[in-house]
Amino acid sequence: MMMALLRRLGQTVFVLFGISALVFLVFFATPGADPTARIAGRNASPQTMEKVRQEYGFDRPLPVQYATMMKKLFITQDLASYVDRGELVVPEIARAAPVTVSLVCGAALIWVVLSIAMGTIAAALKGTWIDRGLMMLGLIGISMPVFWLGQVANLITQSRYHDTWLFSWVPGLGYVPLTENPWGWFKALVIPWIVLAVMFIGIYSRVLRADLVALSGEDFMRTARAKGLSPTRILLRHGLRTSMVTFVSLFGLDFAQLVGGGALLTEVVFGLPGVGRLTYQALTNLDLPLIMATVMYSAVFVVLANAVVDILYLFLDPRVRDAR
Amino acid sequence: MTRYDPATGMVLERNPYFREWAHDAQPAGYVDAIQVTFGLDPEGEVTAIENGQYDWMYEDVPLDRLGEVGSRYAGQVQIYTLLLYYYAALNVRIPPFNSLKARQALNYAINRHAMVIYHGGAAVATPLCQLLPQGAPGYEPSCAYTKGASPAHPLPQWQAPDLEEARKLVRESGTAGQKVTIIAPLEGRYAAMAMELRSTLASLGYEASVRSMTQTVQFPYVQNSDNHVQLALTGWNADYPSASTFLQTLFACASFRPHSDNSPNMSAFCNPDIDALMNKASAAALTSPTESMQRWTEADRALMAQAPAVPLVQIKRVSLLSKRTRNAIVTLNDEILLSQLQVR
Amino acid sequence: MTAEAPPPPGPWRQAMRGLARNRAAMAALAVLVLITLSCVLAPLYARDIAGTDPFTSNVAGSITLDGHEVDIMQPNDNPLHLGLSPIGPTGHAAYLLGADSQGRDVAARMLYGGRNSLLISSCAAVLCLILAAATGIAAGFFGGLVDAVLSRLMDIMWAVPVYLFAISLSIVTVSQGLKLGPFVVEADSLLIPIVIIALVYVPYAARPIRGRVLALRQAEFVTAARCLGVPRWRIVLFDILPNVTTTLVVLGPLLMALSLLAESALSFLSIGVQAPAASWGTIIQDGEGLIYTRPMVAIAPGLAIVLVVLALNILGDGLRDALDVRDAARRSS
Repeated sequence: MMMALLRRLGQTVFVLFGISALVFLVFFATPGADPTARIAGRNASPQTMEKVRQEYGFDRPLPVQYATMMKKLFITQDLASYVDRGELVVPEIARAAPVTVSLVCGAALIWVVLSIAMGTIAAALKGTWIDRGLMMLGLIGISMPVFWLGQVANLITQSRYHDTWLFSWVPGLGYVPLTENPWGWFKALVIPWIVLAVMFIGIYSRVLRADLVALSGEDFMRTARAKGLSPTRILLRHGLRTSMVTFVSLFGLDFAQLVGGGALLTEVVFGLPGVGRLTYQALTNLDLPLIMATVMYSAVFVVLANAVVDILYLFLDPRVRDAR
Repeated sequence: MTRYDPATGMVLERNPYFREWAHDAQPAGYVDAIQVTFGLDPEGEVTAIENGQYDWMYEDVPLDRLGEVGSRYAGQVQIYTLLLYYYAALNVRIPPFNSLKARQALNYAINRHAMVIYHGGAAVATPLCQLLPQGAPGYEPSCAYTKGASPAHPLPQWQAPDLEEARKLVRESGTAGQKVTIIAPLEGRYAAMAMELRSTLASLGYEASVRSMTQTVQFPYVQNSDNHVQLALTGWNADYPSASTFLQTLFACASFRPHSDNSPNMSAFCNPDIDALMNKASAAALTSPTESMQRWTEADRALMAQAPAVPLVQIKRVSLLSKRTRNAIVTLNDEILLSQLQVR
Repeated sequence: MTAEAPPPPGPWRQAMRGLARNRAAMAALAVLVLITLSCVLAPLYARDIAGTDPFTSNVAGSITLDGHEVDIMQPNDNPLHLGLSPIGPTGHAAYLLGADSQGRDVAARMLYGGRNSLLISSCAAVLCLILAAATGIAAGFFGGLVDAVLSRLMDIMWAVPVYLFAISLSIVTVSQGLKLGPFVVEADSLLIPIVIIALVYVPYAARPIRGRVLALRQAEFVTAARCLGVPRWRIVLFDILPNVTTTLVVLGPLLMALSLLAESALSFLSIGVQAPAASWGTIIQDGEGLIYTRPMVAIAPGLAIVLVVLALNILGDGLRDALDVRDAARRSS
């Protein structure tokens, strides 16, 4: 147990180091332009360039540059944007994070509930047209570009049918903080939630159905049937519970990725000032320190979240827990 | 001002110690507090105002919404003339636009009607082929580069592009086939105008491409001679209604400062004769206003004959106010006076 | 599909027969062929049928419909005469789907854009498969330190959200291009999105390949070959690779679907295909500014993406069933 825990932690530390090195290399060692010019932005004065060179240690070897960068990002947190006149980057990310978390949590709730329902129904009615129809819907959901779906949703709710009873409640694009106005928060986010959830509903319901169908051939399911339990009960009590293992680990990964900035396109289309949109704005401004910081923070977040999920598993899964 | 945050917004509140001392100079405000929120895009702003969530927007109404705004919210629209025009500065020190003929060719070829369309049609924009905008002192309507006109015989108005003349000039200049990079702001209408310029340059036989950057980056970038910008798409808004803010600021020898971000003479144009003419015009302003005006008109023509830039359109601002807003007072330069809005 | 080593004819033919019986997969294949063909013929359509130039701005132009001269940008009907809107879907050969805000023919641009979208996504998928096969086979076959290093590397890449990773790579290349010794890749080259998309999906494809190779390594025929003293490169080339191809073939369409979505997203964020060239993603972006008046500009390329990605997914599923590959990834994000 202890060993497993330590090993997992060791792995996490290694991946954290690797990922920071990878991001660092992408931004500073890609062949092409001088990283000083990239950081300082287009048309920087020689003084600014010199300052950047000093600050980031570009005249020194790569490992030193890496260490300087990490220090600025995580310890002193004084990484500043040059394009945006010295705006500190880390607090900016901290301000944007609640928006992204609100978006992803709501969407996650929708996709978990709907995909479990769809997957289970499809598995229970395997081979019928309901099964095929649901799975086709799922496939269509996977095939839609999320930014396009968002635009179409905007078109319908903001413009074409905004004046009908169905959508007149939809507020203009943007975000309302939960603490300011919970009902406004909900109204502003409901459509982005649905749009973001669509693809995941597709993926998860298909995965769940496949798992349930595969499980129905397993021994313990046959035993349950032999005991004379009702099919519904077998499916829900035995099948679904077992499938949840894959489901939850998949969920952990996707949830962390989305919070870490994967929801960028949804945020851009709906004008939600979250981490993803921050990255997007940095992209249009070519504001490299900001992008670097969002990518680094999100990668670290994803790694840590995965580690937490795995460690929780260590405690929850009897096979792992009792193995010494 | 009580709160300011560049990311989200600011709050201006009534200064409790302010007393009106002269209504015309600094009138007392009607509103108690102004809350300005940043971060919405223009599309979102229009929707929010239509729905009554906000009262005033800083940006222009997006093109896509002009029709809707014009038909359903016509009463809430303010259209006002600005001393603002868009133009393409041609760098007279770098090929191909170090050739006068190449510069004139682009001036003949550009379709200013298309530029008007990109800004929302004739109600919002007018074609411009001179360097003084309508409303500036010394403005005399004149267009040297249109079908049937020439610098020696300008017509009062732009008619149509003259591609034949333009192609002939390009042939004579021997610049065809050269690479031209347009440096343009990323923002909507600029991007559209830049694409139009690219198409026109391509049809003249240049190998044209567009590089876009955000406006805050682009504006200093194109001014700095170290960046060797061939063609900069930009706009100029008068600080105060005078001819010199346009002609002298943009085209006098003294406003070209090499290696500097603050060099509004983006064409790097310098012509001693025209400089002298502009100085005379400036000096005459105190003694004889009429003579000054005439001199500015002459300077405008003389500059256009040298074509250091391609003037494109002069535009009007279309602003949308909420239903509850009254008493929009518009000045030529300060746009809408926020303090004078009455909100019910 | 991809480069197939000469396979033993039996199982392959069987699989193809199985696929041919799968009606959904065949329909998907037909849709793909049809769309690809029409995109290939884009110049013909633009020149001979529509008679428009989809790369030149044409807002001041007009076309003749039913004998009437019609402006491409039409004034809005309102008391203030504010704004103009591009012509909507005409129902005629010229401007079938209307014009975009530059007055260009959307239908013709769709076909040209489809060329770029399909080219980028298929090249990215193939490149990704090659890289993933190399990584997966190396990791699975050599095991030990090689496996440990490669697998950790994949874990690391896996942890960065795909789009953020792609954005990071794009932003360092999109402004200045890439200089690798004597090779200079221009910033607007299609190679850049192809390489970026291929790179970010390598972990996605390398994992199932590694799993397959691990299983194969224990297989009797590999052990036999090794006992006979066959050189390792021969084993990889003639014993492992042919047996991995089924996995590769199944992954192909799925990867292309993912690449197409990624390409459109990058182009939508203006870090993919650069103007005036088009892809379905850039047309959706053009359409964003017209969503209130001419929604067709954004809807049509979106539908094209949905159709192609859907067809690719169905085809991938069909191939998986026909080839009976169960360990190929099911995830799609």
